[in-house]
Parts: sequence; structure tokens; C-alpha cells
Amino acid sequence: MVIYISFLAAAIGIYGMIVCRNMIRKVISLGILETGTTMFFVGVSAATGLTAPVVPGLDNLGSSFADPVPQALIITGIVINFSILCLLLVFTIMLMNRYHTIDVNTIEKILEKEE
Amino acid sequence: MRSFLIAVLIGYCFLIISVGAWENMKARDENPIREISMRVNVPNTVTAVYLQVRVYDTLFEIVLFTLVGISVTLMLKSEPVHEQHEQTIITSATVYGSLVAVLSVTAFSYVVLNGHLTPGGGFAGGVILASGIALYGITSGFMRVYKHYQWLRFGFLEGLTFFIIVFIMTLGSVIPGALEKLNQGQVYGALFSGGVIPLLNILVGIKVYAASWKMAAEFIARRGPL
Repeated sequence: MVIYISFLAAAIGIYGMIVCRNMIRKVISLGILETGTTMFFVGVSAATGLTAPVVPGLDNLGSSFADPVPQALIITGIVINFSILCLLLVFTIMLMNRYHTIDVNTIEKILEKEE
Repeated sequence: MRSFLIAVLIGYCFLIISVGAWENMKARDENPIREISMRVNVPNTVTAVYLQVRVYDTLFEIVLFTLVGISVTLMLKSEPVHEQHEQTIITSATVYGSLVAVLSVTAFSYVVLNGHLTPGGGFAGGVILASGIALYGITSGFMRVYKHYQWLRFGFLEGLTFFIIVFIMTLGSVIPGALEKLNQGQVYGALFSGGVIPLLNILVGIKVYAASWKMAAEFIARRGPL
């Protein structure tokens, strides 16, 4: 179920990034896409069990623990997404200061006029 | 109509992907937790994976984070900065902001020091502290927090922690198996166990805090009409 919700969130994120004209909405859509990706990895890690992968003792390995590898991998994904969001916000600030708008269509028209 | 077609196309693509993913999910039945626990000898296997088994992933993550911190600072240098005295400060918000800052320091210490025993670690701790301090900056005067940042020399500390992290993480390739040998023979589940993992957690926490706070500070300084 989590897997399908994650796909839905990712699809909503991609749709928002393509369709929205406002830069801030595009950034928020990217955030939704990232949340979907995180959910997908959490769902994948839960395939082997639902207990958090914190092992209380080496003689207690019989329980069905969640897979720790996807959970560790998604930390990389979260950091990279945070970095991309930061850079996108920097570009948004720069665009706002130069063109006084964050609507991509308006910016495109201004650029066409300048050419 | 165009938006509807895009939505249908995206939906169709994800349907194909999800069917394949579900088939692969059903095929997976092996859990590497036993091998990781035996090898790294710490209870939190997620920390064990990203600070020992797949340490190069984390190393390049740290490099990327550092580069982004530098990029954000450099790119925003040419943009106009808003005067600090424009900031509106409400006293009751200042009190709550201070409380949250103190709690975030406590949570940072706990999450970072127990990162190898309970869920948490350097990344989570760094983000907790940066969020608390950013909230304090927004509510209690941004200049005050910035002075603390400069007084505690966090800029220098960030660079120093980066070099120590790179040194420790690359030690495994210079002396093969050195990091894993440190873990063996230590008491399983003790606070001072896990070889270099607790040290790396502290260093990563400081690094993430310093870089996130620096980026947040740059954004707050150019916050516009807020």
C-alpha cells in the first residue's frame, strides 16, 4: 500500500513540476516527489519485516526486522534533495530580483523581448 | 487538455513501473541485518550501514553538502541584503524561541551521542539543531544568533570537521579493515562502543548543523518583504 501511495505522490510531484508556472510551486512539487521517493524506500525496507532495524542483542536476530540498507540509502537521497531545493531557491531569489516575477512564462517572454 | 494528457502519460508510466516493482518486492526475502550486526557490532544497523558498510556514499554526501553550502553563499553574495533592524521581534515569541533552542541543543546531544544505539545519528541531530537555532534567529533577532555563530567560530569548525571526516572515512582504504577491527571486542550496546561511529556521528552532526545554518542564514538575510 505504501508503495502505491509513494508512486501516487511521485506522480503528483512530477505533474506539478511540469504543469505549474510558478517557481515556488515547482520547488514544492519537487519536495512532494522527494517525499514519494522516501516513502518508496521505506516501503521496500518493510518487505522483510516491520520491526525497526535496531538489534537489542546479537542472540535476538530471529525477529523480522526491516531491511536497514534502503533506509540508509534514502539518507543520501534526502541530503541530495535538500541540496537541490536550496540551489533552486537561490535561483528563484535571483530570478525574482532580476525580473520581479517568478512566473516562468512571463520570464520567457521577457527574455524573448530582450533578444 | 494538455495538462490532462500529461497527467494520463505520467499515470501510465507509473503503472508500468509499479507492476515491475511489486514483482521484485515479492521476490525479495533476504535480510542482511544478521551479517551487518555481526560485522559492525552496533545495535543501530542503519547507522552501521551508512557510517561503515557504505561509508563512501556518506563521504560523497558530505562533499556534496559542503559544495552546496559554498555555492549558495557565493551565488547569493551578489544579491541585495535586507537590513537587520527591519526584523519585527515579539517578546513572547522570543521566550518560546529560546525554549525551543535549548530543547534542540539537548535533542542534538542525545541523538548524536546515541546515534549508534537508537534511531538517529549525525544527519538527524544536525538538522534538529539547525532548525532550533533558525527558529531562535527568526524570533529573537537574527544578528544575535549570527554573532554567536561567529563567536563560536562555526565557519572554521565546519571546515575542520570536514577534513577530519574525510581523513577517518578514507582510513579504511589506506589500512584495509582498520575501522572494523576497532569495533571488535567492544561491549555491544554500550555508549562508548562502535569504534569510530560515535565520533563520526558527532562530526557529521556539527558539519550538517553548520552548513544548514549557514544556508538558512543566507536565505533569511535575503528574505524580501517578510
